[in-house]
Amino acid sequence: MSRVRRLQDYAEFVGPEELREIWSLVRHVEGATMVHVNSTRMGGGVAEILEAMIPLLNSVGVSARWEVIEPLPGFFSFTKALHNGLQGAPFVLRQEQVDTYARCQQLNASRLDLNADCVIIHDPQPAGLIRHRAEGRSRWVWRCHIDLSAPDPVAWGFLRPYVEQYDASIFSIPAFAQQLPHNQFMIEPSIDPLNDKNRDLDVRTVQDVLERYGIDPERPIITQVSRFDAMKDPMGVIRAFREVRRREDCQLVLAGGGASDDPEGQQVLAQVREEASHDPDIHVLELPPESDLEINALQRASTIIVQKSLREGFGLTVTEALWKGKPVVAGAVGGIRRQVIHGFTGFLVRSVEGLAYRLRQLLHDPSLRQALGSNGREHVRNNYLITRHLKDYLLLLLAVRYPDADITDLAGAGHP
Amino acid sequence: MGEATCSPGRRLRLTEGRPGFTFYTERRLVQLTGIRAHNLDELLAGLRTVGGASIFYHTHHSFLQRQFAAPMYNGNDFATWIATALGEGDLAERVGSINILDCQSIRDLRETLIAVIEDHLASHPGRQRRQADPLDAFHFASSRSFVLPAGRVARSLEEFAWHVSRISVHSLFYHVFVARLNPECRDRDFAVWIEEELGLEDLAGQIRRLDPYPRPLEDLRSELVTILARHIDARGALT
Repeated sequence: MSRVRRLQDYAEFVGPEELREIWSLVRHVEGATMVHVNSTRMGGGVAEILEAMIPLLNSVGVSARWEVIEPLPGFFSFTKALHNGLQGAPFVLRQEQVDTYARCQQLNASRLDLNADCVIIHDPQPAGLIRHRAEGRSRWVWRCHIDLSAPDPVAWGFLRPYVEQYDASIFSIPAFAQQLPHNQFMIEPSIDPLNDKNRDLDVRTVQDVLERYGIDPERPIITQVSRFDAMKDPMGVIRAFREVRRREDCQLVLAGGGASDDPEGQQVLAQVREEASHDPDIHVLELPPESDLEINALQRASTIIVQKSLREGFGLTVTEALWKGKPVVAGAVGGIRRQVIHGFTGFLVRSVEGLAYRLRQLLHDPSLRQALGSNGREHVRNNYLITRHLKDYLLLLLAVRYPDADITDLAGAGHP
Repeated sequence: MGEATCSPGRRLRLTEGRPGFTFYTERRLVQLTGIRAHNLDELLAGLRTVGGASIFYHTHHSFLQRQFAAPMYNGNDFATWIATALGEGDLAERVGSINILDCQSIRDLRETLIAVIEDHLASHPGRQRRQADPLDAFHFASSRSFVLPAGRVARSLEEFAWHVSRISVHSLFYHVFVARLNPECRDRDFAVWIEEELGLEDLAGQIRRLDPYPRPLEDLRSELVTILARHIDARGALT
């Protein structure tokens, strides 16, 4: 278990001037209270960010809490379909699902402590809590982590009336923003460079993990780490790998776990296992939630990291790979387009053939792999570490406190 | 980062009885509008309706980001999008070469952008209007700025140069871009303080002539510090 970290622990990554500026913001929000609500304590990027962010907020004087909703039977099946519909898949809405969603919100509203200056509700699952908002000074913000660029109209038509009641929304990239009657902000997700998934590892630890999973450290390793989800296109990755392996000696690792709010994962995993069952060079690893160190080791041992998503909110596995200085080949969707700068931090692809071509190119060019990896680490250092995310949350507290001004002069020297 | 050749301890000229220069810094939270453009008509409609903060954002935010290659068109998002998503290279070049130093305000800049695009459309009446792929739509954004004291005050030109060499890139951005384009905080413009409080008109003129747009802010800092150091050394030689 990682120890609770403080802001100054990050000085080695971002430098003292950055920390000084964060502390200067803290002075203006000290004592503020914030509660985050999501649908799962473990699994997926949201839980991972909150696990690091809540203690960090508290360490700088913001009183932050994390609440998790409890589902009713059938609730997560519905919200997974809604999630897919919001990301563009065809969506059908039945009245009993509407009723289940509403009952679940009511149940959790009476169970959770939502009293805070700023209430941040993550994703569609708990979005309906807004209907049970108490009178008072709290500002409610809907934090959307999913790709909302082209939602199914029925799915968005269901969620939109809830979202419109919030005081503000947060999206991960500009393309996900909607026409809404309140302020919308962009806050990109982040990784914690000190947690088990991202901290430096010694060679022995990495080798032990490879040995445990029967992966050959002497041959190139191509890895995709993600939930077993059709939107991550693991079958497409296998097809690209088979195309590459016609001429290149290499191995494929598909590693991922499930999340308690994702009931489709087991079906996709079964398909992937069936497809890979006769190939000893395809390693399908279903990892339990506490496998951060193993994922870290697999990423560090990899020659190339793949994230062939067909839809993606942001793609924190891409961030993790870039931070480890690995070349990344990834689907040109969602937040991946902000992280993978084509030709500088990795390559963006739109097809199985495109992925196979870039894998061949990188397998043959170690200096290109090194250059992309080095740029990628700097890109993450400048944009996607948790200190930047913390700063954005501090700014959010100010933005909801002063909702109307383009420029807010906290210096108290008049309005510039 | 450039280094001044002077230190606070070596004061060649004190500003007795005059206010010092307070350095500020700012942090920005990106705000989204939900307004998208897929072609030049929609881009023009957006340019006419979005707030001034959005025009500022799309012409300046890249200066706060590390660039892996020389930015296309001085980091002007409108020009970059016109080139990459619409393939209108000639218009992109005209939009990207607008000299923002010639604009006295964001309103000026907005009007110039609109005029250049309208002129292009009027000059090519028969040309088919190109449509961007939905994935490559232009998304109007802006940013909310929160201004803070940087914890630095200069009471002489020497101290000023010393601080300029050390302030964060966010502080430099604020004094170079925000202070110049916002009449309400004109006294936070470097050149204004040097001219009005120190009475150094020639030096203020040199700083005003520095063009911050076609280069990274760190390059601008280096040149600024060099000019200040040269001036300080020259005055030291005279006294």
